[in-house]
Amino acid sequence: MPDWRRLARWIGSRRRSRRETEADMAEEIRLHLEQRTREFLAQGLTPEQARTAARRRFGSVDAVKDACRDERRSAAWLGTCWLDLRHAARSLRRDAAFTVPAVFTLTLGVGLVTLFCSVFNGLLLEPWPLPEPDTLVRGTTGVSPAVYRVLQARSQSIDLAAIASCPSFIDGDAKGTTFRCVSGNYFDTLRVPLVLGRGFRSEEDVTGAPVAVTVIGYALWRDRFSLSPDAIGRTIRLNDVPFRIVGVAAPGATDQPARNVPRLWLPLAAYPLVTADIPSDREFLSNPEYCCVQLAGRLRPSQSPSTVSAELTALNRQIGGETHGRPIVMTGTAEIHQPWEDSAVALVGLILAGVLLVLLVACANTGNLQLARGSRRQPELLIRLSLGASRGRLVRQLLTEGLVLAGAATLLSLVFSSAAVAGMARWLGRDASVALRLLPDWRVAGLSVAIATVAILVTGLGPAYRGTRQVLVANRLTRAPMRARSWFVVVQVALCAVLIVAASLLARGLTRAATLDPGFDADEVASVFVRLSSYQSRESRIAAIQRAVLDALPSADPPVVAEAGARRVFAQVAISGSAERVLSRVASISVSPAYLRLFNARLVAGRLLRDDDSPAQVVVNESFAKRAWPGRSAVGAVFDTGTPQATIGNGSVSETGAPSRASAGTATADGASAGTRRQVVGVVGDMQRENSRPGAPVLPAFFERGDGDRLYVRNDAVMLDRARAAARRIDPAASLEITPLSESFGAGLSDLRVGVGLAVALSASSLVMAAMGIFGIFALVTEERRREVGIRVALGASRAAIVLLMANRAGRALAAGLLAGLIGAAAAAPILRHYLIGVGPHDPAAFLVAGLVLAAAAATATFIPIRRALRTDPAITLRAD
Amino acid sequence: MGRTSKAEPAAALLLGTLDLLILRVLKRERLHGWGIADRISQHSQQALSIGEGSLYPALYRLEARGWVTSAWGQSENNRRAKYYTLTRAGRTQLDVETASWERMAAAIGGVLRHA
Repeated sequence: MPDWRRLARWIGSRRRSRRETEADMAEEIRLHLEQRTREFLAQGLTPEQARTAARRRFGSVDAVKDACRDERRSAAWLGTCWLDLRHAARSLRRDAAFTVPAVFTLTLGVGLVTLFCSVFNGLLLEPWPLPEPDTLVRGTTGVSPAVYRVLQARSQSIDLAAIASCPSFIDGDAKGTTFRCVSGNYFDTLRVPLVLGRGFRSEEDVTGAPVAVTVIGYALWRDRFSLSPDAIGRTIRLNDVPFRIVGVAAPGATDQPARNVPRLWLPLAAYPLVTADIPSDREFLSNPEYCCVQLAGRLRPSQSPSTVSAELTALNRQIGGETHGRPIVMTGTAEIHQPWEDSAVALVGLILAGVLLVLLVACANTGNLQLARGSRRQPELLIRLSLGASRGRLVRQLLTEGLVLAGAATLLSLVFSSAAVAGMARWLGRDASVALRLLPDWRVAGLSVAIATVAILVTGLGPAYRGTRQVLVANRLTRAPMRARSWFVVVQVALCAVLIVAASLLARGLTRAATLDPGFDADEVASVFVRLSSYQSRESRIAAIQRAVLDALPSADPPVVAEAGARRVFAQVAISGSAERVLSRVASISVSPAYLRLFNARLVAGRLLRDDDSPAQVVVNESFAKRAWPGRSAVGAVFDTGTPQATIGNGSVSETGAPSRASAGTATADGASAGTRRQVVGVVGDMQRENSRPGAPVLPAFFERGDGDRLYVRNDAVMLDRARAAARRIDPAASLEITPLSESFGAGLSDLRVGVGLAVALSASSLVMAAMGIFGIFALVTEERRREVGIRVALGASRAAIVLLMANRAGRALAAGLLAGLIGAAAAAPILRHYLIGVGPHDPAAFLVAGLVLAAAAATATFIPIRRALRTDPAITLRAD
Repeated sequence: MGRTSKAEPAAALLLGTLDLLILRVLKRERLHGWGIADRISQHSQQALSIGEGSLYPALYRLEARGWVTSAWGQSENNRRAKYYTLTRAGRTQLDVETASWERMAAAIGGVLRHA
């Protein structure tokens, strides 16, 4: 008999309540005995004899009933489960004072873990959304397009594709968009899904022979071509260059899931077509020094990421030699993605630790609440036990309640984390597809069910066991064991203290960072960025506008405008002198002489740059001077530079190996600085990079006279107006984007700000939970001692004495928790060192703040119940029992 | 068997035979508990003197398995009685159990005759 029929029968039979079945059974047996008695009477026995005979023939009625019950129960254990569930739901509904905080706590704890896991899963561990993701690998570092071509041609183990992003304008769109520039084999190798047309062919991606074809994204197809199939073969103008559309990608088609879906794809070789005005960008494809394209590819049969990495590294060594041929590491696409990488792992670990701490607080709190509820329910349990419920049955019922609670919390936490993910995606400015990917999947949902269940069982089993045992052992209403309660409080407070210390340390780091001196006048100086509405003759237009601005503003004393070129980093600088020494990693910036004065650099020795200085005469920063010539004056000293190791633009290093445009302007800078001898004319104080994170270490650096592509002006309304007017005169379509350096300098703090927000949110939620837990426990304790308080008050105890009495025990648990938490935090704080700016990991203020906040919360949580106990009329309390 | 002491028939009914007998009796007509007991003892020429009470756990078991259903009704002498009816699943089960019983009886008989 199929199980479902049994189930259906069971559900049908459930309609009759248990009591009815019991009555049924009794009636049936009674009728049976009656019938037999009648028969024996008819045979001539006396009524007494007849009844006895009937009973003898039947056997023990009680035993039969028991056996019947057994049969029914074993057939319908599901039924009692259902009963348990209903009973649990009912009793939870009745006890809102327990249910609401418990569900809230669990939801928060489990929801945070769910949220964390789904984000982690979606952003970092989800394979690229492409067919056969198992054979898909990606490079963890970029290589130059020229190097990529060689690797792709020579590699035996992998079909390698290259991905770069190139900022461009689609004609008619005022805002620039980021496109993917990809190698000709990209679509075939990665199998990015298309809905129409075809991907690129390798002959469309030959360096030096660009073909203007494009594959457009689904969104663009919808917006521009209304999903018309005619789009294939039509042209679309990109940076004023017509491109022929050969394919349309499927909705949401992308390679790297953590990033937005591309608007369109171009062949890598077509890169110069859209960047025609920028000479250095033309070199992007041919100069092996130029970084970077991102690597991705398909493993050939029986290859693994490690064999491929080994082969590509060897090939790269052949091309670039030991120094330039860095290792190339390919990993599966489901491993940590860019732009998170390395430091992300540490960060994820930290966040996970925080989230787990909150979960632990939630568990402790739930245990707390269950314990309190257990002792409140002792009368009920006692009655049920004495009515004949077995202890196992009661424990089972208590556990069922726990499971109902866990179920509710899981459901709510899934809702909560889904909503949070949607909110986060909006906040991060990602499109809807990202949010969709971040929704908890079944694995995450399963995990949260498991966590909630384990949490509730672990914290509920003890109280359930103890609750029923106490009823059994002592037929009196004992207090729930104080020791267990205190432990829950201690644990909660301790964990909470750790979280609050972490949050206040980070917050103090953030505020400290904001007050750190960057070494230049961040408020007084603003950077100028020329914004054009198209790419046509971009380079020359920008140059003309900058020239006009320079000419329109005075650069003499005090300077209003200055320019600077790209920052370069030399691997080594040779210091001449009696003992030949070498300084590694030295930065250089070519600036106009007005630059250092405009930035208000602090002159330490010698003089600043002058208009008549030669490019060989330089000003070094203090770090340089101290390391190169310790203990003596640097002025007049001499050093030699090699070729720059890397050119780092003003812009940050771009995410996935897009050639960083800001650096492009001077990547081919004058050869004057390469391999020449410099003489120090002055030393200035260390200046941080304007877009670096405050507190970041400053490289040894020197300033040389030279051309620049970046403009800086004094942040003065009149001067800014003059600059804007000058720009408009030259090019009405252009606009100047003027950003005070204080803004871009602070921008380096944005990730820290997010971290502080996160830490504060985590610690606040744990604080709320801990306060609720303390309140719950304490309310219970005072409730139990109400009678005692009444007696004491009646006997003339002062209010202060009562408060002291009540606070004593709670105070000890709180103090122990706080102490343990602070010690734990002190031990763990060095983990945060990397994120603390200008603050030690054992900053006393942060610890003090944590202590005070917790103490205040605990005092509030204990004060309310005490006050309530004090307010009761002793006469009423005494009469109550 | 801990249960034997409680409610299982004292007679050495082979385990599961009682179920078979009940099903067989119910195949002919719907019956109440004591009617079933009467039929079994009639047809076995009183050989199976069972504790009548032990019928009920068996009936409950059969009902839980869906082989019989029960409903209250009027007995032949106009008294209330709970009637048990064989279900389709019960019929099938009866066939299965009868067949296996006959196989076993034949096997045992064979052994007894020839061994």
